[in-house]
Amino acid sequence: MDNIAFGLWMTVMGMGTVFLLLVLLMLMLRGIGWLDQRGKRTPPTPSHTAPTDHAAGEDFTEPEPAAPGELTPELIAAISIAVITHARVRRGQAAPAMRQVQPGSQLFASRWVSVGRSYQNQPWKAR
Amino acid sequence: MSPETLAQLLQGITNITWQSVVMMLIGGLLILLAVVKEYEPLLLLPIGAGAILTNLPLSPLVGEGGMLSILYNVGVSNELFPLIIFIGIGALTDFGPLLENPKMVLLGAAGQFGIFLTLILALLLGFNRSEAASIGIIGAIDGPTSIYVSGILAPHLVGPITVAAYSYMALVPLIMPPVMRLLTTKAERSIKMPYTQREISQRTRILFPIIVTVAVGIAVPFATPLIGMLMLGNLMRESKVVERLTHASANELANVVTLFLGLAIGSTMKGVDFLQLGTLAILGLGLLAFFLDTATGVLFGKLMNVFSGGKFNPLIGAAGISAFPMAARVVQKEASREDFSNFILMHAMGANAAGQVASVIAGGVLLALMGAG
Repeated sequence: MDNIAFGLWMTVMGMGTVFLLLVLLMLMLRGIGWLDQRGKRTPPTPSHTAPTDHAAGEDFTEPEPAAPGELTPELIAAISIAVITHARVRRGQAAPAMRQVQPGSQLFASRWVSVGRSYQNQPWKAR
Repeated sequence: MSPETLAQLLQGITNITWQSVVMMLIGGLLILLAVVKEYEPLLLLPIGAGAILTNLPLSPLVGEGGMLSILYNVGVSNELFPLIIFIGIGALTDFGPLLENPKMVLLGAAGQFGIFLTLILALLLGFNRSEAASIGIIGAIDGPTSIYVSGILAPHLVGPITVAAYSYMALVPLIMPPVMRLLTTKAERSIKMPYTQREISQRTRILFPIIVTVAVGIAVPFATPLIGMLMLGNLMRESKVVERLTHASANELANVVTLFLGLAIGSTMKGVDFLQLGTLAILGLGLLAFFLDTATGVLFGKLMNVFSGGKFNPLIGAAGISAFPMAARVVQKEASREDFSNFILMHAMGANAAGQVASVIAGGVLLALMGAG
């Protein structure tokens, strides 16, 4: 009987302590997350205008300033062109050796995981 | 040839006992599981080899000056090896999914119920309090924690407890699904949970191990060695400034210590001491602990489902144990089994990472309640 009472006491105290500690941990993690997000929302100090090397008189429209943490449309366009060009060059060199991972390998499977994840993250799409 | 010389030549054969033969067969079985089934081969293979080497007649590897005994004294009796392995685990673990969704921490706590329920059952079976607590820790589903806690509370049970912990951990894909299916409905298993990845800054990732160590260390000093080493490994990983140390901890150091630990644990499986009714009871209770952990995790998941208005998939509760990342994978597999397009892996990973932390805390709490020092 003593042993059962001891076991029940251990269960109540043990699980109580574990839950209490983990609730505290959860609150701390939420606090850190909140501070982190708050730090990100703080607007950056205005930077000095970068010097340009455009020739005088050249027809040039100043790109729209991007929101903090965002890329300008010009930069996105430049990156897109670079990616397309790169893909075209690689396609031109197309050969069986271009395949980075064998179908059926673990790395190949990760692509399936990516598809599943993106599918799950689009709840607005009709199933 | 004199009879003495003959006896000396044949002493290997004459000293074979049925217990040593059975233990060598058990060692062979562990090696078979490791090689053929690939169940936790990194540990089961050295443990099996250690068991065979120990039970060979008049084995010079055990006893005073024997290599296996030296390994045991150097790393198991003083809990050094499990702690070093924890550095490697910390260096390998990504707590990102947990940081993205802190409420998953609660599922980690629910996954520890099995420890205490098994403890009660062990007491009912006649084990003393220290032994019962050591057997209960199998329910942490965490090999190094099991070795650490049982090494302090009941060193004579380290062998069977370790074998039970690692063997059943390898069997998680077989143990968990029936319990999960039994306790959930098809509709519950099919609940989809949208996942929105939140960017976690490096500052947060670095602060996490430091804060957890200090907070847990102050609240439960007995957990400091376990949580401290786990978080040290994670701090090295997330700081990104000690790549060499991180790599060494997660690979070379962890591999070497795993080999030594496996051999040392195998050396505790001496037939005369191991083949007792108590060992069978420990193996049975260990299995029960795994079932109870899964069941309480799923039931807590169902509770969260009620509080969330039916938006929480209860299967995720089963991932709140320490078998990382196997438990999360099993949960995802079960969800996919009902609905191929259901993707709850990242939520399950969060719960699984929480289980990693919670098992260490539970081990420390158990030691504190037992007044171990």
